[in-house]
Formats: sequence, C-alpha cells, structure tokens
Amino acid sequence: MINILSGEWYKIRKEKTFYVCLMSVAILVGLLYFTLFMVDEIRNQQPAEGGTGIYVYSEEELSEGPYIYQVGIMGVLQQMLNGHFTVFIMAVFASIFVIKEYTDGAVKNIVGKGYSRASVFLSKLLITELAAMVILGVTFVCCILAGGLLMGKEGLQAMNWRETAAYMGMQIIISMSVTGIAVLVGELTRSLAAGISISTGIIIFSTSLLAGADTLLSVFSIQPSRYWPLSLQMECPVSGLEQEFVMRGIGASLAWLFLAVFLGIFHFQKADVT
Amino acid sequence: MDYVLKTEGLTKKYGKHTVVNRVNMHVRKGDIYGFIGRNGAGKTTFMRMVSGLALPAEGTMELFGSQELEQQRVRVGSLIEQPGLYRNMTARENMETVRRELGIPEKSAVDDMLEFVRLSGTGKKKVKNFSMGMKQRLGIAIALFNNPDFLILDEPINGLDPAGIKEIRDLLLRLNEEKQITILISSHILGELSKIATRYGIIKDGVLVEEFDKEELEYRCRRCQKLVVDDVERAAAILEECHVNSYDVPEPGMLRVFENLEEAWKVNQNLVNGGVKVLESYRAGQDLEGYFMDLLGGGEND
Repeated sequence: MINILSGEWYKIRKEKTFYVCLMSVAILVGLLYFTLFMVDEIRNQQPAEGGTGIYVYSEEELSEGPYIYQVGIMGVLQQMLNGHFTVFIMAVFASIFVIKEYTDGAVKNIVGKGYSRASVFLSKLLITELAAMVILGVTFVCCILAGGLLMGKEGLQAMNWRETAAYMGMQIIISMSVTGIAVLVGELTRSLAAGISISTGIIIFSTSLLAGADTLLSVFSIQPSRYWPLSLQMECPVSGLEQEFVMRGIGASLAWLFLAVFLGIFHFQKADVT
Repeated sequence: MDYVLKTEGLTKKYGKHTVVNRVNMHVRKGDIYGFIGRNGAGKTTFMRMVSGLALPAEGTMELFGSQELEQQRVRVGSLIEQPGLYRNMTARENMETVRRELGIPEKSAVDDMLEFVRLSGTGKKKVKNFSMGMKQRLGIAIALFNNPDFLILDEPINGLDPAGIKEIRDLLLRLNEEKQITILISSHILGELSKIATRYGIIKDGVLVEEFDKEELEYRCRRCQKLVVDDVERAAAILEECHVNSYDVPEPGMLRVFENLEEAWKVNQNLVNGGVKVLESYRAGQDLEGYFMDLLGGGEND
C-alpha cells in the first residue's frame, strides 16, 4: 500500500487541477476581502463622491470604524469554511481526482497487480483527504496572510489563537467526512459530469433539504441535520465551542467517513473496471 | 503440459445476458495466442477477467498453474482496450507513476523501458499530443514494466498505420523470442495476427469455438484441389492406384487433394477414365481470414 500511496502522491504533485483548486481558494479569499472592503468603502460614502450616480446614505450609527474591523480575520475564515466555499472546491477536486482514474483508464494499471482492491481504494481516499487538507490549510493561511496585510497588526491581535486552533480542528474533521463522501460519489458514478454535479448538488442543497426535514420531523423530536457534516460545518462556531457540539461533530463526521470508506471499498471490490 | 493460463467454464454475465460462456482456454508457456472473434464476441470481457478487472460469474482460472490469482497476477502485464495514461503527463511522468505504484526501486527502469519501446526522445511532450502508435507503445511499456511472464494485449494494433503495426509486431516477436514472454493477443487484423501467432482461439457469441496451433491452421488452410464427385469411395480408390495419397474427405461427396496440384488435370482425367463423375473441380486454399470467415459465417453481421 505504501507503493500505491507513493504513486498517488506523485500524481497529486503533477495534477494541474490541484494547483488550480489552491489558486481558486486563494482568489476566493482575496475576493471575500475585496467585497468586505467594498462594503466598508460604500459605508464610508467614498464611491458616491464623484461616482457614477450611485449615492449611498451614510448610516452613522453603524459606522464605528471601518466595517472590515467588525468582521475580522476569523469572520472571513468562517465565511470561507462555514459558507462551504472551501469544501465546494475540495469536493470538486476530489471528484476530478478520483474519476479521472476511470476516464483516463489508469486504474487498470494498478488493479490486478498484486494489490487488494481495498488497498487501492483506501490509498486513493487517503491521498485525496491529504490534498483536501492542503486546500483547507491554504484557505487558513491565505485568510491570515491577507488579513494581516490588509488589517495590520490589530487584525491579527484580535484573533484568539487557541479558539482558532479548536475551530480549525473541527473543520478538518468535518471536511474529511465531506471529502470521503465526494470520493464515494466519484467511485459510484465514475463519470466526471455526474460525479461533480452530484457532489456539488449535495453541498449546495443538502443543508436546506435537511433543514426542511428537521421541520417535518420536529413532531418526533428528530433533527437529522444535527448529524450531517455539512450542517455541522455551517453551524460550527469560531469561538466558544461547546463540548456537546465537539462530540457530536466528531462522532457524526467519523460515522460518515467510515460509511463512505465501507461503501467505497464494497463497490470497488464488486464492480468491474472498464 | 506447462500452461500459463488455463480456464475451466469461465463465464461472465451482465444481468441475464451471458457475454462469456463456459470458456475453456489453454495458453501454453511461450505461446503467442491469437484470440479471434467478432466485435462483441466476448474477447475483451474474457481478457478483463483474466487481468482481474472483471469478476467471473462462474468457472475457474489458473495462472501459472496456480489458483492464487492475486499473487500470480504480479507476473501478468496487460493492455486492455485503450492504454491507461494520464493525458496531461509526459511519457516519463506516466512511467514514473507506474514505477512508484509497482514499487520498482530502480529509477533508471523508467528510462530503460522508454528506450525499449523507443519513446525516450519524447521529452516534455504531453501524452495528449502523442500519436496513436506512441500511446500504444507507452501502454505496452506500462504493461511490460513489472517484467511480466504473461502479456495480455487487447487490440494493440487498432488504429495504427502500417509502420506502427510493423513496429508493434516486431516488438512482440522480440519479447516472445528474447524474453520468452507468453502473449495472449486479440486483433481484428487477422493477416497481422497470422504473422506472429503460434496458437489460436476462436470465440463466437461468448463460446470458445475452437483452439488450434499454427501448424493445424496451416494444415487446414493449405492449398488443395477440391473435387465434388458422385462416388467418393471409388474416387479414393482411383487416387490411391495413381499413388496420390495426400487427400481427405471433409464432407460427403467431396475430396481434397493436397499433392500434384500443378497436374490437377491428370487427377480429373484418371477419375473420369475410372468411371467417376467429376461434378466440380477447383483449386482452393485459405488464409486465416478466409478460415475465420468460413468458421463464423462471413456474411453475417453482428
């Protein structure tokens, strides 16, 4: 299995999509800061002065300094992670990385070469998880660097590093299960169009659907969204993490991850490689 | 007998449709086994099962005399349909990926193999810009990377130009002669196949219809004089009286004479003089393609 992992890692390093995803994350972080600065500028009426006819009323009672300071670096990070921007890119990458093995036919080079199918699938999953964590890490680093650059020392000093570490830890665990689900979808569909559509569809619509399910099932006191990784990711607080949430988050994420691993291996062992 | 591949009743079903039906194949060590069949006859599916890419519904398989298939498949290299290549990588990068996956410690093995299939000069050219022949050669290089004793090639010369076909043919002959690699190869280009194959298997609608050696094919396809007569027994007696001993009776009322073809008229004359009515007399002889078309019913389509 070490050999397959080595091969997979080499592939990641040579995979253009991986670098595109990293760049996309960095650009998204930049755009988010840019948007917030725009809001800040608009609130300070600057674009209206000699602008193109847009006049923005100043709301004095809200302007206790630039708006960007009210959001802070953690706010941007929260937007990126809780808002599913990063996980969206992670899922797209996972789908492409897994499904390309089938569309390029390269999976044939390793299946039936003395390795068990389970180890082939697990290697792919592990390296995809690792790549997803790199994407998550780049999001974090970009948020900090850009925040430090744009907000200065004050922005960084406003951060509680201990709480940030706890928040990132939770996000890593939850993201691992979401990546696992994306890998599973890739394995089941083996088609780029279907895999990416289904994975992104899950990310975009599942939380809303489960919120609806919560309402429908409220008479039975059942809230499925409490155990769904994407809902957990959305509600994960940047500060004041409660033990109950941590336990529920870890438990649910691991359960989904193991389910994805089990179903993925099962399918890979039973399905023919074409 | 030393078999590299031996299958017993190997069957593959997709739903109710049986694609490969109880195939008993025997590939001996050192064979270049030409696997022939129409499109959809079950060749690729059979090869996939042997390579471990598809699971059989029924039947057993032995590789190198063992049923421990997962272990034995380390000794098998395969190129099934299209080569599995990363289009955005170079030939070297593709080979490096496989080298790592197969756990080959020598980094120089990549260059050696590229040299062997004459792709060492491709440099930074991405696989997506390769010609069909280059891709096929790279696919073969990947199949050969773990120094297999048994090579499975599904249509390796499909889409190649004559020069490319010749290159692959020469490469396969070299592998078989120099490295004693046993080869199972399928192809629709039967003329090419007949230039390298030492044994044949013909599959029709998932059933392995026949297996025979090159010599047997040559015997069956050799040039002859075909005679349709009214009395085969009498005709045979006359032939023997005239010292013509190389003949057979493939079907009632027909004789095939394999000697003295330059003097076929003499045979006709002797038969007529002996009171046998010669209804038809003509020269015949087939190549692999003709034999295959006869066997599978040439006019029919899939």
